[in-house]
Amino acid sequence: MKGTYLGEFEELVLLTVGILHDDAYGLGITDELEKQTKRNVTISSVHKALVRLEEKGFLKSGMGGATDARGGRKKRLYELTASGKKQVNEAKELRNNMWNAVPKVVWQGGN
Amino acid sequence: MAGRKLNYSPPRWAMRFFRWYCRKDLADGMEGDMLELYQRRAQQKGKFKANFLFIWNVLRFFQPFALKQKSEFHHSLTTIDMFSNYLKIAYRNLIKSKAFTAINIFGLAIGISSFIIMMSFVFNELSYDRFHSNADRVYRLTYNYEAGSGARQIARVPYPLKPILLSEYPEVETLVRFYRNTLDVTTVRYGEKNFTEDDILFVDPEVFEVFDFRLESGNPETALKDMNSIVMTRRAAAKYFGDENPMGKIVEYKNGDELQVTGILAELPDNSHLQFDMLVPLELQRQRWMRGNGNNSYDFEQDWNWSGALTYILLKEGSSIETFNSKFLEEGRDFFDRDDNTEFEFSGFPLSDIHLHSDMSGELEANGNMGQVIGFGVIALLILVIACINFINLSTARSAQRAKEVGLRKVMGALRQQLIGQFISEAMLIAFVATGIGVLIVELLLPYFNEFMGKKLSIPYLDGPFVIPGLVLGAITIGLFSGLYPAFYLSRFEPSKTLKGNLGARGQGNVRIRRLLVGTQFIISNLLIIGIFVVQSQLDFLRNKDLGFDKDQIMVLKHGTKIDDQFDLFNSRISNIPYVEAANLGYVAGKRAFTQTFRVDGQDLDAGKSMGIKYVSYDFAKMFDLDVINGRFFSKEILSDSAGAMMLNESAVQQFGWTNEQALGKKFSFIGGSDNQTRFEGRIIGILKDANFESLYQPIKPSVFKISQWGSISIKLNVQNGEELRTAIDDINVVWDEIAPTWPFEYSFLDQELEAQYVKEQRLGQAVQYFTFLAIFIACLGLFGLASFTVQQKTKEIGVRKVLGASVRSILILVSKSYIGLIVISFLVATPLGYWLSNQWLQNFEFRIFVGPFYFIIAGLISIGIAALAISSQSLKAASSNPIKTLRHE
Repeated sequence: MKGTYLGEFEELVLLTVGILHDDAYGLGITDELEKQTKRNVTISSVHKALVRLEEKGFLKSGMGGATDARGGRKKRLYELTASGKKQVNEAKELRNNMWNAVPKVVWQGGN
Repeated sequence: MAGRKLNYSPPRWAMRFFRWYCRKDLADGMEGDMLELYQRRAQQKGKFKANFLFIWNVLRFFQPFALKQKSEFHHSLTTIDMFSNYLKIAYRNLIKSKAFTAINIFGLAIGISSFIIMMSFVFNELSYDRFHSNADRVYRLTYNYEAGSGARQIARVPYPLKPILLSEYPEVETLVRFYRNTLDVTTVRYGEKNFTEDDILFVDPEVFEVFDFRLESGNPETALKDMNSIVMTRRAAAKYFGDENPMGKIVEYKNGDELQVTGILAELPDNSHLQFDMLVPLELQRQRWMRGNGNNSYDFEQDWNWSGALTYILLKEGSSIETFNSKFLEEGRDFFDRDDNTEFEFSGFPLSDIHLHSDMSGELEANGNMGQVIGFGVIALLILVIACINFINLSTARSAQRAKEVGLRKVMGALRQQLIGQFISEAMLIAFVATGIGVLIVELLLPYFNEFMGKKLSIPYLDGPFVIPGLVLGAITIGLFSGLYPAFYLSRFEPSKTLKGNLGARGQGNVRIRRLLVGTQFIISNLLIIGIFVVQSQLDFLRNKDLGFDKDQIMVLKHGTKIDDQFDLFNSRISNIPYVEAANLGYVAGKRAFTQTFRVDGQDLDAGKSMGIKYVSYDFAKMFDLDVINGRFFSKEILSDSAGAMMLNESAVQQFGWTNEQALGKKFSFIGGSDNQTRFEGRIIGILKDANFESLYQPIKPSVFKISQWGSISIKLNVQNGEELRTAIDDINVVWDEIAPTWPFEYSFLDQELEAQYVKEQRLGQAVQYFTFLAIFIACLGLFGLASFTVQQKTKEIGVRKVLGASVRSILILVSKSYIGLIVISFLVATPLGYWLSNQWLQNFEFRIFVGPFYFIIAGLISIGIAALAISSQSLKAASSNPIKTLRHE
């Protein structure tokens, strides 16, 4: 297994997979990410992140339903693995801890 | 990959590319996502944009994470190895036999370059006038009418049509009229600089709405609105103003009107049938004529009898020309002031067809000819075919040398398809190299071709979207076409036989096909030779045909019309010059003349006949050496001749349905002008013998002759040498400068001018000749290669024969007899074919040559001679070689 370092974009992808729950596939994730971040997200970068996250063991995938719009191609549906969930949680905790460590005075901007 | 139907499908090649590189396990999911996105985009943004974005996506996915693993690529990698091996072998084979390679590639390259050059000419001819953005909606009005001798078409219509078209026909968006003054040349002066301008067109201000002639400076909407304005090309402007800014400058037009430069035109495209250096408002010409000289005021906007306006209408989008034409034909008569003659009708002729399909009277320039363009294209194709046949022949002939390689490859397990692939890719390689060299040759030769043809052709390698793909596709096609037969033939060898050194497969079939191909080459060459002979003799025949008048030593003054009121004075002054025989005012023989309607006294206007009218002076018959058949020519002594006398030519007499005797003394009249008054009436005093004044290609025009009051001046000289000619010209110049000091003394010679009319045709004919020589040269190159190869193979046989006492002559015959037989057979095939084709072509001509056996015998002899030359050098070498050397090998 490769290192468990998680990039910002990868973290967002993991969260989106969580949001979409049982319909998390490439294009769906791209749309959701665009909606949430209001950024332009390319489908290739999402897939790139998905492949890497699966290699790291945070995601697992299986083939899902095909539609006419997809020319009969099945969706590759992703879901969070246990370590994936743990990783998201750890990331959130890490953030919270760091948040708490910032002195209040910084936010008040008093100096 | 399930194949469910998609509403929109992206480019197939992009999908295939994706499939090729993408990991199998991921491909379905990613592809499905891209397709889904594609459907959405196609609906929202349109198919084109969606396609583009899809391709972009496929390219974005080309990253390590999505690529196939090495193991998945395994098969393709061997393929790549194999191809590089093919290339290596191909290269080694080419290097091994350099002469063969050179002949092959060089011949093909010459063929390809001639093809490219000829096709660029063909495409240029086909592209005429298509560069205008409205080209498909612009039509030139044609004036059709039934003359006594049949239907005639004129490219020009009366001027008063314009307001009617604009007010009564909503489908006409706008229109523009052009006029060119062919009777008179124009001078333009700026300060000291005074030039005679031949290419001035008078035009309506709407010209820039209909046509895409680009103004580099000036406002196209207003440039020609004012009567006293002038628009000129950059080149013409530079002639007058040098480096100064021409805009706003004032020039003097014909020693009278002052015109302001209001626009500078970018250089006109070569493929426009409208060619001009300057544009001047039509209104200026109208005003000049209305001012008239003295009481002779004339307004063409009121004149229904004069068809002088080249009128181009721009139809509104969605209107069809057929509807317009039929509507125009049906109700048009209500508007035209022409109720006296119902046979007249107008119709629209498509702009882009004018150059190749229109040959009416009143055309602006001598147009191209679709038949010639097709002929050119066919020759181009034939040259390419000859070059390809060379390639096929030389490859199969050399097959023996490749037989062992094929055998070995087969033993090593090569499949037949793979061998075919190998040989075809080899052919492709040669085709691509030849195409490359061909393009270089084109770049070298195109300037010369352009200079020769008076064209401005260029190959738009980067600008034209089809040039590069066309060349690549062409190379592939040539490679495929010429590689297919050798590939199938070579791949058929049986390894057991070839490896033993016994070429069993080199059977009769191969030889027969090779002979067939060489025969085809010779038939084509033979046909081309016959073709150039027949065409050349027909053109020579036309050129040298007796026109019925004497065109030698006739000098035409360019500015003669400017002093037509002083013609008598001028005439009497120059008649004192010893080398001047006579002078004429009015019609110049050999030029086009006006056509008018004539009516016999007492008949209805409907019965009027359309005929040429030629205004001449008393010495006209003497100058041009014309015979008077009945009656007499005009005479200065008989006063009534100057107004009330007319003469007819024989054709005119026939058209009226008279005999020559009946015609004498008949009275008839001509009605015309803007006021529809009787212009003149008169009695016939004589009949002139028919002479072919107008064109060599058309039957003689029925014509009426009358004494002139105005027109061009032509002078008949009688000089024996250059010295006398110079004296005569100098003397006339002195007289001219006294009578017309403000106009330059410029002149031309009639015979040269008539010759110049056929220059375009002559050039095309010559170009065809050169390319035919080239085709024959390529065919010979192939024959030479083939012969040298045969000789090489027969070296031992020849050696043995010589040892056994064969003479050089008998060996020569041995080597060349199969070819000579072939040439004779192709001669027998080509002769009837050539005879038939020549006669088909000759049907186009009013006067034509007889195609006798002479042409075919000469053509046959030439092709046999050339072939013998190509073969004999090799045969002779073989026949005279020392058998000791040739037999030493074993």
